[in-house]
Amino acid sequence: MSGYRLTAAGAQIDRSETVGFTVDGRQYFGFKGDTLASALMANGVSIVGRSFKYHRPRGLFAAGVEEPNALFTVLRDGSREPNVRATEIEIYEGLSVASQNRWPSLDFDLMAVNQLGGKALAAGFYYKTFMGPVFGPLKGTRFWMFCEHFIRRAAGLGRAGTTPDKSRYERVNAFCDELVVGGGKAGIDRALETAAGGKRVILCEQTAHALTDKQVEELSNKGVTVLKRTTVWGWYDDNVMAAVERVTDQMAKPGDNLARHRYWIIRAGHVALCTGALERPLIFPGNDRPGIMLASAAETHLQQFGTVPGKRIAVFTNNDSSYVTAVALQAAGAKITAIIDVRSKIGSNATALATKANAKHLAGQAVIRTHGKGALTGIDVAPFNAETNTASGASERIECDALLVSGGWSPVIHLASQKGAKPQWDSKLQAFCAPTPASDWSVHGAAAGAFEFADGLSDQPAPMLHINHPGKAFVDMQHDVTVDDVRLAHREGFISVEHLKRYTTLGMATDQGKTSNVPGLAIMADALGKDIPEVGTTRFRAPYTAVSIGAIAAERFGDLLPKRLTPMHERHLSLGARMYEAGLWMRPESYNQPGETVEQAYVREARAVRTQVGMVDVSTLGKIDIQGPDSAQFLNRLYTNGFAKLPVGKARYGLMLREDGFAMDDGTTWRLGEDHFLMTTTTANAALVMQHMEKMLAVHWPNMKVHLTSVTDQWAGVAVAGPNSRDVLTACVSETAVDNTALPFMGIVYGQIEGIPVMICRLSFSGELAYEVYCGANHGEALWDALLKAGQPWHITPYGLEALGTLRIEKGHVTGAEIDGRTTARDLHLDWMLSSKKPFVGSAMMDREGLADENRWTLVGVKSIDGQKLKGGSHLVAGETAEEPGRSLGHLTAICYSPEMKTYIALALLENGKNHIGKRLFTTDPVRTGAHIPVEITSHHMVDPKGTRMHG
Amino acid sequence: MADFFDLSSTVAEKAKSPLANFLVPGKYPAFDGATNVKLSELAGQTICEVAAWPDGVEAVRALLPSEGTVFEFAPARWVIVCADVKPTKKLALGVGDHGSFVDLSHGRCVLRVKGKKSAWVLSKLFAIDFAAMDIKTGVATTHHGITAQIWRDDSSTFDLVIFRSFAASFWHTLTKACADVGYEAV
Amino acid sequence: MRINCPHCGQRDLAEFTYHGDADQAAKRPEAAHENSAEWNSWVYDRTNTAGQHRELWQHTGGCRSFMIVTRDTVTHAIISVEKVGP
Repeated sequence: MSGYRLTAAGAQIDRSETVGFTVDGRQYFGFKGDTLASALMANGVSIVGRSFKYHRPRGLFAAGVEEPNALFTVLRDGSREPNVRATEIEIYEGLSVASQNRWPSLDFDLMAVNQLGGKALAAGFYYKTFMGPVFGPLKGTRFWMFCEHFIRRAAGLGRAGTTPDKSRYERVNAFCDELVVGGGKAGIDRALETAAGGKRVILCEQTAHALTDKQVEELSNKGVTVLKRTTVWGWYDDNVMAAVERVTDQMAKPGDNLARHRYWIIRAGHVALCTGALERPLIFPGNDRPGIMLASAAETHLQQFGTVPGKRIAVFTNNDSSYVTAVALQAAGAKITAIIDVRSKIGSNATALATKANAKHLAGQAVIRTHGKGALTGIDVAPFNAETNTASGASERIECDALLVSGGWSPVIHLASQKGAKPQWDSKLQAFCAPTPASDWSVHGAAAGAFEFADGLSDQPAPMLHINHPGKAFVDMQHDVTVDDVRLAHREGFISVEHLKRYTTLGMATDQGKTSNVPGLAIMADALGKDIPEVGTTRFRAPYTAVSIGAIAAERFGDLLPKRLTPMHERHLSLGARMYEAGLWMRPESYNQPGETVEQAYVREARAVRTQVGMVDVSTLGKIDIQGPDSAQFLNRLYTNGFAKLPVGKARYGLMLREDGFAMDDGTTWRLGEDHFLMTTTTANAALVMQHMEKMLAVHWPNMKVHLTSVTDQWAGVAVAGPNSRDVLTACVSETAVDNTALPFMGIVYGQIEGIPVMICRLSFSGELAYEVYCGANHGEALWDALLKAGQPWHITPYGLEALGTLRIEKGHVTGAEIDGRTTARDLHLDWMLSSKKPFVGSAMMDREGLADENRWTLVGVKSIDGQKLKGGSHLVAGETAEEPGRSLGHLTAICYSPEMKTYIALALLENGKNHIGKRLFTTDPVRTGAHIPVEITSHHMVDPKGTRMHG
Repeated sequence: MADFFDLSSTVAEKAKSPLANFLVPGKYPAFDGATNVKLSELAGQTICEVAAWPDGVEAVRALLPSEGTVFEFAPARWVIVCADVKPTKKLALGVGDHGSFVDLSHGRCVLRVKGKKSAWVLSKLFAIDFAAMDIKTGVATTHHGITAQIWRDDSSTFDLVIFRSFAASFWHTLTKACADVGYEAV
Repeated sequence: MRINCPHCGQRDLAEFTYHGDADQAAKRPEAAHENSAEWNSWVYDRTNTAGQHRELWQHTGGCRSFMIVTRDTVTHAIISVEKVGP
């Protein structure tokens, strides 16, 4: 193609501002307002891409989202965005792009040898060559493994970057009475009309250039919210529409204030599709040569950018619309050498336009061949037989450097199709149209099949889209699918439209077949001897065009992910804690002293709790305030053990089951008043337990007077644990005694610590004498400081999750690792908590045969015999060697080094666990470490099984 | 239960806002130098929820403070944010057999988003139609699946009642959402 | 999808939690200790309706109320929303 820029024309460009950009490092210049495509055309660049399989040179084909060939990788700030259409890249000073799928360069691509073996890469090539059993060294799957490296290098589109995307993205929630999709004439008219009725209207236009500033101003003045560079790409139930706004892609220096893309979620009362129509190509041998493009693309380039694709332009059409383009180009100074029309009878108005364009008018003829080394230099034309879609007889050569093709128009009904509206074939327009809309959506303008061509021109194309003639004719240019591929699919029985698509990959590239779907169907219909609607069409899926993953993730990753911090967070950091993400919570893992490993730190911390005193932040425990006259009865039905008679001022450990009889969660619940309880749940299950209780009250026991409120964040909690814990509290608590009489095991008292009101419950997760001290969360940091200070004489040691885990493993206390949804109360040796005096949630189902089976996996302790470090998740097996471990008998749920046992220990769920106690098994970890370690199975109560310490 | 309410009452000199280390006052202008939103914490508020039994709705309604943020975020459940502790204390003592009262003064954090772009900023975080939201009304919704209650105090002023533990990370998200229009933190 | 919460009005699906078949939920057997076929059926047996389905939803991201949403599982159209409880 020898494209160039006219000295006038181009509504979109600002000729006073020159913009420099580079392609593969080579400097070019365009004008402000240019797309990369128009700037390249103005620079006379003809080859803009290499095809997917055959590495054929390709040129600009379209001017919008349907462009199949001109894909580039945009390079910016060290990151790369592949497969961006040049027709959508707005150039800015310093824009840098790389061409794709070529080696070493676009103009000279060594991979183009693929063309020589053209037949070998026909449809189904990969399936036939690389699938199936292995016969010899070069067949089947093994052959694929051998060839994959080379094929992957040769075939494909752009390469994604590997560096993190530094851009920021955001989401916007919007609401309107009507969303108008498309900012063409139909869209503007519809938006103004609806807005005039006092309705809230949002209009989205995907391009930068379709709407002029004046039009935007007029729309805005009428109250329409106008979003330019915004593609509505998905239609979801109840008119929830997904759109992406490209905010900074066209800016040379976007700065940090703006998000790169905005993901708009628009809830629309009504959706008006004013999405226009896309022109279809005609399919003929050599139709992919650079210089051949859609007539509509030439029209857009002329009107918006003042660029023209060639010096000598031919037009090949099956309809009237491209005659207008020919006249416009001629008027702008281009030479139209010929208009080739497959129709033998052409209306007088079109004929007049051909004359006006000063073009040779060839009716009833078709292009059967193209010439040119690289770019187009000429075409061969021969008489066309409309009955057989063939051309025969003497051919005539026409010299041209650009060929504009038009196969008629297809309304853009992708969004309606996403919604589930089945496209209907219009035989006059030769196009799929949207069905009759419902009250909450409508279609307007060209999208509705109302093509408003100039007076007297017909909107009906000839019913043909391809010429049957020998030679490579491309249907899907992006995936290199030819007419022969479609015919091969037909011969091999892949005749349903779904099979055709998958077998040939027609329409499955990044353009999703915007220019190729209907021609592909036409060829299949021709092969089958059927009409196009009988072949059918596939349902379009979101997105309409590619959407950045960043936009969809929007604020849901990186530093914008929500985190929960306890009131003592800053104190943990200043004590050098390694923080650990437990769900959304940030919790101290261990407080490492200089030079300490995590293991050394937690062992030191756990030992301090066993020998002196430690303190741990337990603010993350789920806390639910329960009030109402039926609260006690409610808890009694919910928990497996009795709660009705729990005295005020006492706490009780409780276990909840699911309706199916499996364990759900455990925790302590404190009776603060006759009708007032405070429930604690495990950190991870707080939301689940809340929902469970709300459902029981709302749905099953609606007459119970119980109110539930999440108060997790209201209370800061510190557990003080160890033989000296009472001494610490005695030293700092006022307004109440904390001795064994005033505060017995599971008792609750109220007092103050340094003036802070506190509630103290004596309970123990560590197995030591221990207390949980709660205060209002805003006092949490002060409470932490006060306890740390008060504990100094006893060397109070802050401990983290690792030490907490160690202490509970030693005691055989369960957490979510053991209450994993597959374990019952009996499996966890909590059957002592199953009341036989009352029904409770899960009681009817917990005694089922399968849940009482003695071979079930049950909780046991595990001790490393030779001191090797155990690994959580390892399996327990009887086999002596890693090579022959035997079947899995269970797995380790939690491991630690036990300072008390002086070896690595674990909790495990083990088949018929009771029978294994005292016996030797092995832990095996074939996938990760390969370690095979001898262990002794013990009771899960490994330290102080009688519980004398915490009751002391 | 009055004792419980006293228990969580705030000892000012011992209390610390969840934003103490995160809210850095100052102007953070947009590209054009403008600050179209003002962000602040309404510290020291008394925050509570009150819920009525089906037969106590009218009695509880009669006890609700007439000033401040008061709205029925769920059927027969109200959230109340008051600068003064007296009305809520009266409510706590008066609810009695009509319903229940929960003090949340420590458990929630109240952020004020004020300015001509406040609704725009909030629309990035919440799926609420702010244009259709009446003044002196509130809604319960979520950001990221995390509960938030939003009160519209006047046309351009919104108060967000959020969980205390999320306050710091929510503040960060909120400031990012303000970046394009510029904001001032006070 | 949007659900018209009886208390809060139209809200996005993301604010709601599905709690299963509403008609099934209403048939929770009387509390009893023994495992009966009735309980087993209630916990495990479900119809897989193509068409109108009464579903129990909770507005977890709002007022936390429960509601019964009658929804067509084929077209996704919501036919009605009724509040649960007083």
